[in-house]
Amino acid sequence: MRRDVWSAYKVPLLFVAPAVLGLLFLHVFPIVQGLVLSMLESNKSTIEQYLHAPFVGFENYKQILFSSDSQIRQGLFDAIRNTILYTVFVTGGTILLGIGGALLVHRNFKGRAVARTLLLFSWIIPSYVVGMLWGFMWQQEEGIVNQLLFDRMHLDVMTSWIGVHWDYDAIGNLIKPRWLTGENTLWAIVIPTVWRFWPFAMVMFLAGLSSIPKEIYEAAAMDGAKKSEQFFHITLPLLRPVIAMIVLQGLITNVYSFNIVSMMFGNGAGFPGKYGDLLMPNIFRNSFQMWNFGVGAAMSSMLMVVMMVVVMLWYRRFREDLSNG
Amino acid sequence: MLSGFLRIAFCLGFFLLFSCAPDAPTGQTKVSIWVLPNFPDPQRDMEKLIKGFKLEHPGIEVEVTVLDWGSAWTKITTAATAKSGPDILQLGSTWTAAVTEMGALVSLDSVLQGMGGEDLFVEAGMESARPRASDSVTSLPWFVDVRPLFYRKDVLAKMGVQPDSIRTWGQFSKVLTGIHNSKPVVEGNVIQAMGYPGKNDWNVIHNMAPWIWGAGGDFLDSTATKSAIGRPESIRGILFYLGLVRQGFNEVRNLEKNTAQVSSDFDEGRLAFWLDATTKSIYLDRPQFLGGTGKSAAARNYACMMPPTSPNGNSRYFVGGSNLAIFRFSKHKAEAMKLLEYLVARPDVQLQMSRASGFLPTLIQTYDMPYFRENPNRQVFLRMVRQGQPYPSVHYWGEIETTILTRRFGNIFDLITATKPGEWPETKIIEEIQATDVEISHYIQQQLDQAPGLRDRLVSWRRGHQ
Repeated sequence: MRRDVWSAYKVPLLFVAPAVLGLLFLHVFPIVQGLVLSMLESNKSTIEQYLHAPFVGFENYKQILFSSDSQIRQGLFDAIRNTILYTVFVTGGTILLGIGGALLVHRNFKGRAVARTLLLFSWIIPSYVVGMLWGFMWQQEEGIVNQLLFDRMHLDVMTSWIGVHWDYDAIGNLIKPRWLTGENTLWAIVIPTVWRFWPFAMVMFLAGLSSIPKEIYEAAAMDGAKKSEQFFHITLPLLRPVIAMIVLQGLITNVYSFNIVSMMFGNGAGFPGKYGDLLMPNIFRNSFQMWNFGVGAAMSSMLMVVMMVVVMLWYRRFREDLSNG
Repeated sequence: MLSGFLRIAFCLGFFLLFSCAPDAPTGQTKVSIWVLPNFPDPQRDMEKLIKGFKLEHPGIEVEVTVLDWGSAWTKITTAATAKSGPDILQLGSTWTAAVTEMGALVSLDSVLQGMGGEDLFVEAGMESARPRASDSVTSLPWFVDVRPLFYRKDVLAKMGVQPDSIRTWGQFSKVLTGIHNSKPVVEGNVIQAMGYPGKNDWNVIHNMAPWIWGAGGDFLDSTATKSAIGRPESIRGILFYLGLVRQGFNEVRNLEKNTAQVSSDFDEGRLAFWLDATTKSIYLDRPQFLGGTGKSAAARNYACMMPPTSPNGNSRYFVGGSNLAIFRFSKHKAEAMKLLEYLVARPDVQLQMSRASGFLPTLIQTYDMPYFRENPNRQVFLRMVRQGQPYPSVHYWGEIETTILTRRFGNIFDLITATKPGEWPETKIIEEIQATDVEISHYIQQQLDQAPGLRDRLVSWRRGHQ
């Protein structure tokens, strides 16, 4: 029987083999290796033995979950909270801007091709450069963000009309917001990430918009549907498969985000703070700076399981859209 | 079909075999060295430094690889784990103990004795070369650096202050108050009293060290088996240093910058005082076309002084730097030792290194040369080296410094920047320092638990050095 299968499918199997081997070497083996590492006491004292380090079972997992004085627990809950907020805001912001941008450049106008190309610019900038650039841009006095918002646009004066409170020093000068320290740090990492990734969402939505037949809109217009009604009852539902893909991509990319935060706060030399630290920088510190590879691997494995559940929930939510799309 | 494959494989093998270049010209031994970017032009300047060695040892070829600071630690530890790496490697002085603990370095006791013993080198350099828990010297100090207080002579002259009169914390505060209140304008710039960076920088701990030590405190206790950062003396030192922000001498906005950014404020003539490594003087002295700051107001008017002493008369300064070690798995140990000796034990080479990099020699004899004897700034550096100390040379210091202290002080800087003008979060700062103390002690305890006998070795080291 086996011989029959081999002779019947020899060519297809040979074609599939490189992909299967690649999958094994690049995904399955590292995952298994990570799981094994998570059950070893692999730290600086035992690094020389590497995989012969003492087997400790689920001890590393217990440390993370139940040992409040464990090193990895220091700042872990801040990092989890920040990662959840960061993922939600970045994914949401990317989708909103992506749809907005796609609707704008989907229309016919002179120079549309140039506009589409220019809008892609932030996407082609490497994320570590984005982190460094925005690190300068967010500075309180010298940074261009505060200079634009407060020195040029006088946002404080504009918003004081609607009751927003701003702090002033003893001689009446505005104390501009600090973006790189304190609670604002979260926005300092969310906004550059949205800025970098929204063109990707725009491209995806543009592809989605192009696939919607014009006849549907024409029919809706003949039935008297307004533009906003057309958007909410035609465009948005038909873009759900695209939204599903961007949500998935956003969830995974943002939970595993590292570069922008690391580069913005001292190129790995500093600490992003209670409101800027994310899970990946946290795990990196524990693994590579604290030399606790076992605990770091346990943390990564737990995150992988959580992400599998999240992806499962995502699939259940969008299953119909994906099969219809 | 199969024979076709074999033919192709044979041709490829033949091609690969004969296209490979030999390691070094015939008869030469190739010694590889990994260094960090120590010079303005790291590769070229390092090649220049070893040019003399190549002439003296025509049978030895030296291959220099410059590692990036960001990835060096990972590469070195990977090499140590994989038992495959260079013959010689540069180690930051705080890394030596950790790499020694991994068993990746050769003992250099006999080499050191052959050179003339430990007394040849500055004491602070030797402290990091012989990790506390190790019986052997596992690296030799290559260069050290200290962090003097750079100041503007013209600004002090305008304020009517003699630099020599700034000796204590009180005198320093008084001068800073004067500058802060009068806001002198020099060459179109309003001068701020001083600047230091905040949470986005490795240097935070180095900058804070002299104030903690000066106040009689420390990071770890004398045996390095327990934290000492929560002691009242340590807290007093930290609060004095942070108080420079509270009093407005260092503007809060500097706390979100890194060293390079605040340093450029000094270069551009906006700061009266600035703490930096000795390498800064190289950039201030160099013309712009060589990457220096040229004839800027700061470059024309700067000088260096020792950071002031605390009210109880203490003054101890942080001494950093780098050591050179021989990799245990090196196949050319004898040649590597020759190169090592050339770099650390030759005054002419030490001088050449110092002139090119701005770092300071570890070989004491070098300081007798006119380059050091006749320059007042370098005399300040030398005095600081003599009164300096490194961080404790224990394998777990790196994690304490780069992860625990960096994170905790990051939190403290966040507390300060989140405070409204006129308020000061002193209670919260002290709480954070005490939490740091608990965390460090707990971490050290974990390390001691994993290394039986380590505590005893550290305690006996302390007894031997009292």
